[in-house]
Amino acid sequence: MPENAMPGNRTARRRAILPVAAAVAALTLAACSSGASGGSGASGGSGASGGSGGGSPILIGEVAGTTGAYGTTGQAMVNGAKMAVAYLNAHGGIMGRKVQLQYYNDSASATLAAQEFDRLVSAGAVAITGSGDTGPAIAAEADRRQVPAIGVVDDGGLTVYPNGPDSAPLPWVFDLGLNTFAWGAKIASYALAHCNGLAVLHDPTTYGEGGEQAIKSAYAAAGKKLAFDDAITENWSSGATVGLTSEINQIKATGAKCVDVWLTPQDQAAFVQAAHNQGADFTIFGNDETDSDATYSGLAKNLANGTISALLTSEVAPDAALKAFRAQYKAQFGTPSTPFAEATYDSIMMLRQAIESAKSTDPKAVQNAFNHISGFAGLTGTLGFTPSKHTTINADQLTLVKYDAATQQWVPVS
Amino acid sequence: MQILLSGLATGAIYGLVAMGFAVAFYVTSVINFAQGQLLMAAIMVAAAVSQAGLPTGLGIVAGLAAAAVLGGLVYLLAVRPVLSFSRFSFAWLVSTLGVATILEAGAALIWGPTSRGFPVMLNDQPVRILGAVVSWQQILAIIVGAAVLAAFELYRRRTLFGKLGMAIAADPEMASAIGANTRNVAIAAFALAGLLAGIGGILVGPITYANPYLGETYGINGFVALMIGGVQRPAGAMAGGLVLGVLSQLANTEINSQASDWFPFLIVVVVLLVTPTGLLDAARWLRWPSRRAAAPSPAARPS
Repeated sequence: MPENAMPGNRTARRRAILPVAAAVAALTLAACSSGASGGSGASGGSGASGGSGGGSPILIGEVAGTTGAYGTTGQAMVNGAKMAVAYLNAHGGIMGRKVQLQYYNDSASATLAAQEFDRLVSAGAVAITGSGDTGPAIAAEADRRQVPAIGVVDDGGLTVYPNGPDSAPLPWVFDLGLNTFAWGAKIASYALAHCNGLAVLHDPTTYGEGGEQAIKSAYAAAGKKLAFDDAITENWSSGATVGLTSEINQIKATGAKCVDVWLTPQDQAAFVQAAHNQGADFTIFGNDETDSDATYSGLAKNLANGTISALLTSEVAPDAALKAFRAQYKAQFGTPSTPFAEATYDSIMMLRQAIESAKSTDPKAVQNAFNHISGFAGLTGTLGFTPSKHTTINADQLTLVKYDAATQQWVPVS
Repeated sequence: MQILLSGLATGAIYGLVAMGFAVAFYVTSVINFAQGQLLMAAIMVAAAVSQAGLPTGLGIVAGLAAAAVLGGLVYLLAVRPVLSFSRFSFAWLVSTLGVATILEAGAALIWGPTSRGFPVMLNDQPVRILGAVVSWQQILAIIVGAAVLAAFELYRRRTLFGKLGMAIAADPEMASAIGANTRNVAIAAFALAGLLAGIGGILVGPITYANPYLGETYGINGFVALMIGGVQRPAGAMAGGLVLGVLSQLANTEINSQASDWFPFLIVVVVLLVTPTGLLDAARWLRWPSRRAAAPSPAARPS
C-alpha cells in the first residue's frame, strides 16, 4: 500500500484540506463582495449582442466601490448606470447599436480601480463611468489610456483640477459628480456671513482636500483666515480609534463657533456626538455626502439638527423628469435615489449625445464631442463642458439646506 | 487628565482585544488574526437585534454569544485542522486571515457596507472629572476592562480549568498524556478570546456605530497592544492596550491629528528593541533582579 494511501494520511489530508478550503472560501467571498465582483449585460436590453440596427454592442464600463465606507454611493452609481443603459436599449440604443454595461467593484482600492479600468478598456469600453472613491487613480488611467472617464469621478474638485480651481482640467476626465469645489465655495459663502470663526476638519484625500481648498480660497478672497484647519485620519472609513476628542478641544480653544466636518457621514455623526459630550456648541457644516442619503442624519439623530450643507437645486425642487426617475428607481431597487445615481445616469445619457455627435466611438472623437456639449438637459441640471471646464456642477447650482430633526428633512436655509 | 481618561478608555478596548489574542496564544501558540472581526461581529449582531426592536440587553447578549461562538468555530475550522496536520505549521496565519476576510465580507453582504446605528447606551451622558470631560460609556469601558482583567486572573489562577490551560500552555503533550482534553480547552480559549473581543465591541459600539470594516483597525491595534504588553500573560496585553491608548491620545493631541496612525508602530518597535518579551516582563525583571539569576529568561519559555 503506498504511503499516501494509508488511512491515517487520508485523515491528515482531509484535515489539511479544511484550512485550504477556508482560504479558498475567503478569497471567493472576498471576490464576491469586493474587488472582483461585477456584472455585465445589456441591462434591460434583449441581449448584449443583438443590435436593433446591427453591429456589435457599445460597451460602457463602470468602476464603483459598492463596498467600503462609500458602499451605498457605489451601489447607487451602478443602479443609475443600469437604468440609463436599460433606457437606451429600450429606445434604439446608440446609433442603432445596443449598449452593454460592464461594472466592477473597486472596494475603494486605487490599485484595483486602475486594474479594472484597464480591464474594461481592454474589453473595448468606449468610456468608463466612475469611480466615486478612487477618482485620482481612474483619472490617471484615463489619461494614460486616453479613454474618457465620465460621471462621478470622485467628487470633482482636485481630482479634475489637480492644481486648483483656476488650473486646467485633466483632458480625459468629464466629471458630473458633486464637485467639492462647488460645495466648499457655497458653504464658505454662508460661513463668511454668519460664522464667528470657521474650523475645517477634513480627510487627507482629494475629497477632503478639495473641499478645504475651496473654503480656504473663499476665505482668502475675503481677506480672512480659517480658525482651525487640519487633516485627520481618525475614524476614517469608520475605523474609529482614539476618537475625536483632542480635535474638538483644539477647535474649542480657537474660539471658532462653526466647524465644517469634511469626513464620511458616519464620521461626521461621531464628531457631533463627541462634540456634544464635550459641551461644544458648534454650528456644524457638512459636505456633498452629508445630505446625499440618510446615513448621517440616521446615525446622528437629533444631534444632526441644524447641520448646514448644500443640495443641488434640482434636488430641492425636482422637475418632472427627476420625479419620474426617482419613482422608477425606488420601484426598481427598493431604496430612494441619490444624486450619485442621477449623475451617473446623466453621464451615460451625455455619452450617447457625444457618440452621436461625433458619429464615432473613437475615444478621441468622443473626448472632443464632450468638450463641446452645452445645454444638456440632465436630471442634475442643465449641463455642459468646455475644454477648460470639466465639471458640470458649480456653486450657483446649489441651495444651502439645514437639517430639521423634527421633520427629518433637509430644508432650504432662509 | 483629558488625555489620560480618553486614552485609558480607548486603551481598555485595545486591551480587551489584546487579551483575546493572548488567551488564544497562551493555550495554542496561535495568533488568531480574526480577533478584530470578532469584535465587529459582536457590534453588528447587537445592532441588528436592537434595530429589530428587541431590547438592548438581548442585543448585547446575542452579540457576545455570537463573538464567543465564532471564536470557537475559528479554532475548529481554521486552526485545529492545520495543527492536526503539523503542530509546527504556520498555515494558521493564512487560515485565520481567511476567516477574518470571510467575516468582514459576510457582514458586508448581510448588513451592507454602510454604518448602522448602535444603541447609544451611556455615550450621550458626559461626566466631568478633574477638568476632563468624558462620557459614562468611556468610564464604563475603563471599569469593565479592569473588572474583566481581575476576573480573568482569578479564573486563570484559582480554577481547575484555568490551571489546565496553564498546563497545556506549558507542555501540551504532557498535559494530554495525563488526561487533559486539549481540544476542548483550546476551543474554550478561542471562545473566551471571542468573548473578550465581543465585550470590547459592545463597549465601543456606541462610539463607532456598527460597521463591517471596524475589525481591521481594532485587530491591528489589539495586536500592537499585545506586542507592547507581551504575549506571555493576558494581564500584560491589557497593560499594553492601556499604554497604547494613552500614548496614541497623547500623540494626537501633542503632535498632530494623524499621529495616532504611526505612533503606535513606533512604540512597538521601540518596545521590541528594548524588551522583546513586552513591557510587563521588563517591569517584572527590573523589580526583582534577584530572580534573574535563579530563573530562566522569559524568552526561554517551554514550547
